[in-house]
Amino acid sequence: MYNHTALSPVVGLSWEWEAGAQPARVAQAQADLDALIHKASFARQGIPFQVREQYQLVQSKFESIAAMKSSAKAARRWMIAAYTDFEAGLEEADKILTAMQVYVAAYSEYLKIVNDFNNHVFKLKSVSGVYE
Amino acid sequence: MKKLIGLLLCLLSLQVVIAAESNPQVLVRQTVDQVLEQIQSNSELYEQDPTKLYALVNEVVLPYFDFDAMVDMALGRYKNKVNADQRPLIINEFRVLLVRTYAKALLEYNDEKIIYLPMEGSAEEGKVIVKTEVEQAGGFPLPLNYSLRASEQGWMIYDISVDDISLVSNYRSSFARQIKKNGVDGLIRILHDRNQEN
Repeated sequence: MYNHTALSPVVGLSWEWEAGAQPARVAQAQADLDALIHKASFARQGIPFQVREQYQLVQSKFESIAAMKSSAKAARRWMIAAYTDFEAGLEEADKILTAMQVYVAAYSEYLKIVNDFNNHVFKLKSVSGVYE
Repeated sequence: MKKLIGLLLCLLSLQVVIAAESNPQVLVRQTVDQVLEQIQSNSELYEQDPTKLYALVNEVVLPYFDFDAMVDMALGRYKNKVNADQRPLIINEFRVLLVRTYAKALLEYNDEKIIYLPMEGSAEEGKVIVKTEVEQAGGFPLPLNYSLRASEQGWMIYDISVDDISLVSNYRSSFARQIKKNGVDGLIRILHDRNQEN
């Protein structure tokens, strides 16, 4: 005999799972479709996918340059403040060394990002046909 | 007698007007150029004997510094805790500290280009900031700004900011920490000991 009382919660649970998975699948399919539409749209506009990708990388590196520049400048200010206090005998030498290490690391990172940015600008020019 | 006092007052006010009319940017530029010229032509001498450089800074640069105002600002709310005996001592140590710090920075100078930016404020207001940027070979340009105000002695520097860090504000927090810990005498002793090391 079919036991309704015992089976219902299981079926219910199973149904709930399906109910949760379904919108996710729809959303995924929608995203895939949107990507295809966008890709087709770029293609119709004559913008190849590689150009779009490189453009976005250039944009993201450009924003990172500003952030790293501000970080390196803040590190330099810390170094100067530590040096000023050290000269007055109000700070230990190890504080200057720490500040200097932080500044060197931040400035190196800034230079690395500038280099990455330049590389991506070159690639963007390359994929967009500026450099044949 | 009244005429004489009147004449003296007129002369005094005329002197103030003349001082206020002279261009503070030109004053800073001339002083900096004069010191750098000396350093470039006698760099070996100054490296061997920094006391000679301290003497140059003392003679050429320091007459334009308002140490009373600088020390007052650096002491901040602890200004009133400094008694009449301590005040000349702290001003003297601050003066020596500034000579040393400035002279050491000058010794590092390696013909970097100094750019004079438009001045902030106006001579009429009696307060200006002479803005400069020192180009750095391996880094961002270093902003170096001089805050000046008109006084009876002419334009006087009451603060210098390096990379947007005000020297006076920086010392205010460090001095406050030290005074809280060791009192005004403790601060004077620390400054004195450090000044003797160099």
